Amino acid sequence: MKKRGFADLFFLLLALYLVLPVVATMLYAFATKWNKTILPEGLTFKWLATLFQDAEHLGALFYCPLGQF
Amino acid sequence: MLITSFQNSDGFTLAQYQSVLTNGYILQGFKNSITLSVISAVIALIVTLFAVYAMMRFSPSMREKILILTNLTSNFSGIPLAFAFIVLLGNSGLFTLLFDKWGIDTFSSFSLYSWGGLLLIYIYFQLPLALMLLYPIYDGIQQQWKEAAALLGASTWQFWQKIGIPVMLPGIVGTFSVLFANAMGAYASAYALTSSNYNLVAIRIGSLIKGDIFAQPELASAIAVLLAVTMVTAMLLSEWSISKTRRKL
Repeated sequence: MKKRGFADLFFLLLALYLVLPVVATMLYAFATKWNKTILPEGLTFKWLATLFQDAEHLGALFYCPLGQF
Repeated sequence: MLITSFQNSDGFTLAQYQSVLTNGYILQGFKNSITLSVISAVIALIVTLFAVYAMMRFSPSMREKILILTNLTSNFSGIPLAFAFIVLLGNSGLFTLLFDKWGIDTFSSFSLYSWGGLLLIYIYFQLPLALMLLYPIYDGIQQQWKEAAALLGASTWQFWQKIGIPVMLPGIVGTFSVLFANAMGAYASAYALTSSNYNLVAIRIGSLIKGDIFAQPELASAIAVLLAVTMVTAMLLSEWSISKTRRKL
């Protein structure tokens, strides 16, 4: 039983190592400002809104090799 | 690429290869790349071996979820990955500040923009690939074998020593060569992290094509051909060692 716990802990650490960078990137997307603090200073949808108002980004996202639509 | 590597403005020449093999800077790039690739592949392989062992104890539906997660993270590479590590461990990264606050100097003085940081990122993108390659190999070891071995009086250790590891060895060696090639060819994350401060083969090729000073596509081709030769050599070595162990079994 003890051995089992160790294997699970090992796997949990590995999963954390793999997931943490993804989560951090996600958190950064919703952060108002995250320069000198451990966690973001506030949360916002501003960046997402900016992203979907940016014509260039939308063009890249829905880019169609056969022609513009 | 092969044709370009034998050319210069006058026509056919071996000068590109000569300049690659006599240029200490490029040779150092090869040395750095090979060291980084081998170390990251070995670490990822060892970690994954234990991880797969732990994973096989989960329920099938849990394993399915883990595989989905690994698939997801295996596509998380290049510049986004470098960015994520900068957020976590960069100069004002989450963990850098956290360790600073707790006063753990050994960790807070860690520099992401150096060899250690590169190694962390390389291991990160090696892990999911290693897991996805080793999982089916490990899956091939059947419960019945363990039971049969146990019935004949073998301990768990003896089972792994005499049956488990030898059966998996060809797969492990093959996985190693894939991981090695994967790391040798990685460019974007290393470039995003260290720009061209750390000397790697892929970065040398990149700077010769883009022309930090002036572009030398012929020289870049020669380096790329030698890079390919390195990878093929690693592959052949693994094939050779696999056939050798197969004969011994």
